Amino acid sequence: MTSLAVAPSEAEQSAAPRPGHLSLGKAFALVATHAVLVVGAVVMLLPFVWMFATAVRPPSEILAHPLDPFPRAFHGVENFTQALKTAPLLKFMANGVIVCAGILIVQLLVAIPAAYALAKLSFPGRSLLFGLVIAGLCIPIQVPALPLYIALANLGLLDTYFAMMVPFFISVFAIFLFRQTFKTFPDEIIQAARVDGVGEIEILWRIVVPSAWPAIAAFSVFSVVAHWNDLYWPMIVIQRLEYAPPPLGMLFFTGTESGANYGSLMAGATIITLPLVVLFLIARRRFVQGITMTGIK
Amino acid sequence: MTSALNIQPAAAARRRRIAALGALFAAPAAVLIVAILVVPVCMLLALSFTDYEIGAIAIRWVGTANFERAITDPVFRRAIANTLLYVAIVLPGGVALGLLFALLIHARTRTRGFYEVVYFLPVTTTLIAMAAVWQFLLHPRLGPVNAALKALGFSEQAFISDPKLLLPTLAAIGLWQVVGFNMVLFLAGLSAIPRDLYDAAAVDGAGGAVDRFLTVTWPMLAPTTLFVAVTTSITAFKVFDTVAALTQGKYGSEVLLYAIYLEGFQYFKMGYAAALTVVFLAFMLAFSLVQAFQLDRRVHYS
Amino acid sequence: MGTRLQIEAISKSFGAGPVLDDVSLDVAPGEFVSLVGSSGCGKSTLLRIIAGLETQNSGSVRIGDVAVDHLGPRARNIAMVFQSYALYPHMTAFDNIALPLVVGRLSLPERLPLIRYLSPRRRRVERRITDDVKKVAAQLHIEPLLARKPGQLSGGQRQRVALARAMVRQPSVFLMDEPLSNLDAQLRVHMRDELVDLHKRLGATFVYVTHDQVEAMTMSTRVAMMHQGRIAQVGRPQDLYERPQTLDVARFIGSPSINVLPGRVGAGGQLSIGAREIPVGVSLPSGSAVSVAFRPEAVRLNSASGDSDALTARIRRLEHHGSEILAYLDVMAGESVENAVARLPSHVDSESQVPTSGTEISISLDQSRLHVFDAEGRAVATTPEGLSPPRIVARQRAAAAS
Repeated sequence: MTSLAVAPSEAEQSAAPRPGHLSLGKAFALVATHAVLVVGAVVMLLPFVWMFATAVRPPSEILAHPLDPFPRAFHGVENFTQALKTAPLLKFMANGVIVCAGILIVQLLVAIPAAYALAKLSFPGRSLLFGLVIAGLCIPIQVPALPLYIALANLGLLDTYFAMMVPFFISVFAIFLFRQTFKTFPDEIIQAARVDGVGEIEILWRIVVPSAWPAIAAFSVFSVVAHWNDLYWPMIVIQRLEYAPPPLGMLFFTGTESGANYGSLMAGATIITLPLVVLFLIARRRFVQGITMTGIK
Repeated sequence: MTSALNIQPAAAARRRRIAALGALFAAPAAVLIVAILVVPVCMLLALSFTDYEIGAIAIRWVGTANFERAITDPVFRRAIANTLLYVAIVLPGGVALGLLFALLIHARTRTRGFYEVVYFLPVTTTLIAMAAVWQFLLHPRLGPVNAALKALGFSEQAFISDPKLLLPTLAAIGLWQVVGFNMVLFLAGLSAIPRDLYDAAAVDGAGGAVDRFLTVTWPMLAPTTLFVAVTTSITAFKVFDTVAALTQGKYGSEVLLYAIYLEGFQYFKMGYAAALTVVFLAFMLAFSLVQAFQLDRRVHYS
Repeated sequence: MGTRLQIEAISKSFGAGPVLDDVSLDVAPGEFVSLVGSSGCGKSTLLRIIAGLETQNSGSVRIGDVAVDHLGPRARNIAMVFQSYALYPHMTAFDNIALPLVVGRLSLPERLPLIRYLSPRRRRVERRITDDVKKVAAQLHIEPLLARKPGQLSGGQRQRVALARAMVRQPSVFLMDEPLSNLDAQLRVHMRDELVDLHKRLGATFVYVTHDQVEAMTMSTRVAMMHQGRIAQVGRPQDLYERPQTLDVARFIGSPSINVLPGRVGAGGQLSIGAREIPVGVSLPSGSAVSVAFRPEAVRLNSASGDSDALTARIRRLEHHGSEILAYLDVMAGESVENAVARLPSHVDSESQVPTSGTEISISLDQSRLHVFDAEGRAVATTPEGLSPPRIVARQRAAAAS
């Protein structure tokens, strides 16, 4: 005697298909899903494919085959050479490395002790400082840019690496993030170390910091990517080409390489884009962790 | 044996030592915060009430004149309108597409890694470089997009020089870069949903795709969705790179940050630019308040 | 209200090895059957297959004599209570309980956010739903909690809401996956009572998964013990306790655990532990190694070491539990020394009768409550006093005739 109160609907039946059978509804859903994903993937990859294809093509081909991504003749060497001649692309990347490294080192040196103090040491003004950190999270670089520019101009420090790095020496985001990480570190270990006579600085760098390594690594990726790709601030403080970081350099490059040499233009774009893409493919998980750090709040 | 009285000075000395160390560790950060954030923001507010120009000899207090000028300035008004329009396209688009792709990819097992890489790739790129690539892609004669349109029978579109299409095109490029980022955030949110809830929904009769989404997925994703929405809004509001690379603010593509850049660093009207920056800051604070409000609600959530 | 549940030859593997291997079980209408076993034995998988949340590789599930293998969970009219309760955190207790009814009685358009207001019958249906929910809530005494969200409820209250959600649809079978594991000990005991009470009131068929054998033994009409994907034994709780068919069942059921000593079968089926011969006959070839198992209450402490079948033991320690004393012993069993526990009534008053820890004593085993298992862990028939089976039969016939 059955006591099934509700007649099985299509959806419920397909929820537990006969062993070994894939119901028609499920097969259709699978095909549709992949169709949408593939279309999306094509849109995401289109610029990369075209950029690279155009960078290795001769100009005649670019004109003749706008819809065809497969290069017929290899003209890459000429395009890349031309690109490197038009603008000092490698210098731009070197500047990027210098600026990002400089920023990151100071950020870590400043933020880690401060975060530790906020997390584990009580001192006068602690709440005030933390309040300032929280407030600072809402303030992007574009806000203090104007006054900072005026100050740097008056000090004659424009057009220097220092000028490019200085506003970012303080990363309230790093302080906030590391404080959260340090807070979870067991107090007992720190107290035991103090009892053993270990100095506080040593406690910080030898004991606590290694435990926060994942957060520090992820933040480092976040910082490098953000500052490698930053345009606004360098555009303001840098006029001389030899100091330009990659985005600013690219801007100059497109401005100079006006005209129809798209092969060289795309070659330049490839060179500029390559480092971060390669970094992403190598350290994928860290990379994603770092960039989506903002999700951990 | 030490009496209570003897312990006090030792404990107090220890406390003082810790406090001194804390202050020492925090000092560099405190100094930098004051020098790089606090003082400049105060200066900015002060500047916005003046008519300061770099190189000018005198600086006068003009009260709210800058703000009044901004309200009537057609360039500023267009910039605000464009920026808000840009956000109005990128915000829902970025959230919806990010969620859509996350939902589709979340269930995949073998192809998941591949799609994750492909969709996140645009996030890693230098936007200036990719803007140049997009410019080429959208080129009327040389670009594949128009070539494809013509092949399908449509007419050629001037994506970048046509004022009507320009902002949507910029928004599309912005979307292209933001979708992968949002998708990753949504994937993390989806992974956090306990599988039990879907089982319970199946047992309760809400086992179909739409029911699962309405009963479990969407409500459980609410904090993530709000977070993604706020982050996308902030990123969209800060649009600058594509405008700088493609149009330099011409053809009616003024946006707030580029307008500030022009006023402050090309025309050197610092006082006016400061006022515009204050407007920008007001928007940023509004967005952040939404975020803070949501964080507070999350405490009561579970 | 109870419905028959038949599990026929269910097999399931997740790639590596079989999680369930040809499992069959017949649950009568209104029974309370527990599936017990240690983790990994397959009990939760079996439950999920019954529910329709997993699909078996082979075999069939029948509810009310109807095969339900191609039906989803809802269509099978089963209800499930999860270990984590699986309450929807964003909905009030009321909405949680009402959900199955809402999904069941309103069509999809009638449930969509704005479109639902277009339906004329929606109001009526929702009123009926409200009545049904309130009725169930009253039965479980959670009416005042209906407006709260799960986050604002205690563990026991969430449990009841989960139960209410299961009850509200009046399902044919209740499935429970370790529903009490997340509660503290005192609450667990209380809820055990409530569940048994509920079962009696509803008269429905309950299938209850747990790793806690005390729960299984105290709540069920029958217990099915599972081990490595198979059902080791099914029967009334007392049957599993007094007549375990495998060593695993014997070890799993009972607290403190059954005592196990290694033994050997001698000539003529004579059982011996170490040098001591136990007057029990075992029908196995001479020389076989066996495990001799006996419950703590089947141990007698003798102060005199006179009996030929008494074993030597040293008292490691004594635990005084108020109503009884547990003696932890080291028993000499031939080459090895084994742990054993003896249960002694605490009303043994005179000091001389309760030995102190550290003393060496001799113990004897109640032969009628000995279980012998062969090398594979299977129960072996025993005959008392070394008599061969024909003699036993003759004796029984004589006893029956008189």
